[in-house]
Amino acid sequence: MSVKLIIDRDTCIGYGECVAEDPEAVELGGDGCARVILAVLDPDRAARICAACPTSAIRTEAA
Amino acid sequence: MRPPVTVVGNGVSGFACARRLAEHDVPVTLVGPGLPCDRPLLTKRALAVGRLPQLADADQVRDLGIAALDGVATGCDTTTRTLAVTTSAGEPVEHHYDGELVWATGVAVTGPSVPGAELADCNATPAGFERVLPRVSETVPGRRVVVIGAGLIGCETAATLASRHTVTLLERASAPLMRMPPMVAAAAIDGLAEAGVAVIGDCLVERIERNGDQLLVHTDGRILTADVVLAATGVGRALPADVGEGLGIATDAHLSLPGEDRTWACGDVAVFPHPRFGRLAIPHWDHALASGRHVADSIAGGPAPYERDPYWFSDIGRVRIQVVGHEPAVAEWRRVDELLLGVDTGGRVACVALVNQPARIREARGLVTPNAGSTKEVP
Repeated sequence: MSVKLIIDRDTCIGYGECVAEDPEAVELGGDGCARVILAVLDPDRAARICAACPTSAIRTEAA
Repeated sequence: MRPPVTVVGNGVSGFACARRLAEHDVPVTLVGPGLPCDRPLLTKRALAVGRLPQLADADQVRDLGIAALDGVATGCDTTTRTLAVTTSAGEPVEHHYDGELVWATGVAVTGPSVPGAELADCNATPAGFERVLPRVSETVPGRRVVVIGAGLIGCETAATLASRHTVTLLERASAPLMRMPPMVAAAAIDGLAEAGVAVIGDCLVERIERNGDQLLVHTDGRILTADVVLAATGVGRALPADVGEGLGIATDAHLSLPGEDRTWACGDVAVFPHPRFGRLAIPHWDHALASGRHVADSIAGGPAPYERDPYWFSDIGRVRIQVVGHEPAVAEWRRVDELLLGVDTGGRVACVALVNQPARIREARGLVTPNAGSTKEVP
């Protein structure tokens, strides 16, 4: 089963830790907010990205 | 039942502390004006989206089990353990704290000390942000905005507002961010230019006047006409007069106050002994969150000292700057593999600056503190 990442733009403060965790899956947009690059990814990889966020701004949904 | 912990200040650090205490099932009273607010965002994303960046609404605060006292602490009697608080309604009240006390007020943003300074707004506080927002929002594009002060607050504000307004940034020094490493300052200047901000350096503001619906900013070389003037010129004390010294409060390695009974400090006001860089304060978001949580964990029984390295980030237009380590400890800057390494007098890396390289922050942390690069960000 694959999942997709959902970034809460109200909660994301642009810390960038998700990008440090997985720069191929997430990037920082021009507004300083995290942005998803990979549309779908495996659950373990997604969980590591979610866990890296200090503001819990990233969650997953079934793809 | 243990008496509530009183946390004074409801910004990032105070709310992080209160929230973590609640998670530990420790009763907590949070003292601060309005609702908890993420102040560092006031100069960038909040301006872009036009909304106050609240950390929690009233229902969420209550559901967390946090008792809120809406006001500002104006005094503290440590003998009777009494806080003097002026409520947001203007009423003076006394708050007795039998449990621990945590100072987390942050610092205040000050305006220029010139005649007419009261005509300048300040978007870096929640109240100031709400006052000025209707005059700089996307519903009123094309306004002439003058920002006074080209530190991080001024640069972020100017670059953000330049997407819809004509923005002029005034700086007393010759260029923006002169206290930053030269390469970082150069990147910020590029970001401002790309955003369309007109920067005037070596510019001393002498006074501000109202002229009908307009404001006139008199400098030592010219007169600028503006619809809105924003002040971003410095920081001042937010603590009551009888608390701390200067902008902050000296703590021990656990962020508690030596010689004071069950009293702590976190966030911008904590002046703590860093194991490598000596006594310092870190006025940035990362430390605010981490130190707030650390104090809560300590009150709940955690024995570890606080050892976090300084880290800050900024977005100036499309330029992302990240700095880890302690810039004042740097004796020489070197560019190595597109990293800006600040080396101390002993040859050790004391600071690393990244420009538009967010994926390398862990590598940068590992250079400043070996074995730190892979640790999880904020405990």
